[in-house]
Amino acid sequence: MIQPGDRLPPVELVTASGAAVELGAFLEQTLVVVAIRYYG
Amino acid sequence: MREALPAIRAAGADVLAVGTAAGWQAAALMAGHGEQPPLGYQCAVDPDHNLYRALGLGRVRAYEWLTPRLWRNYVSAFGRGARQGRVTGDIHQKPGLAVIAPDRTLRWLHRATTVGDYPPIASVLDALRTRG
Repeated sequence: MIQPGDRLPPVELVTASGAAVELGAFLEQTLVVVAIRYYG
Repeated sequence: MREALPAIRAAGADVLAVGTAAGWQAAALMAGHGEQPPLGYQCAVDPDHNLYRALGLGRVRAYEWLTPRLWRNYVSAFGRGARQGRVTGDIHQKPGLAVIAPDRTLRWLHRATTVGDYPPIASVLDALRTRG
């Protein structure tokens, strides 16, 4: 299981408009990634 | 998180929210709706749970829905003004919060032990300031 100090593998996400995007596209700077259960 | 955004950006970072669904809700939050102003940061969705698997975030087991801590988190969120919208996506997915460097290094990670288990924002800011 990944731990701090490890590198994340490529992670495919979907933009709000429905386009596939890789997590790295958001990583122009350090990111605080909040993984929630759902929007609502 | 919206309230913490200026401090996070002052620490040289930005925020990305990821939900299990749904894109239309993420778009509405980013744009603002009703009396809610725009979030001010990006939202994405992860219908295949790729990020959740990569971070090792767990699932809410059946018995955990009966634990007081889970319901305390709901009541606490309600007290802070949070209101439940339309439920979409996967309600059994536990949340988490990660600090990820541009080179994809995981700098800090909080895996929720139950629903609504988010770290204090001070811990996140400490992680941004001290592990850069």
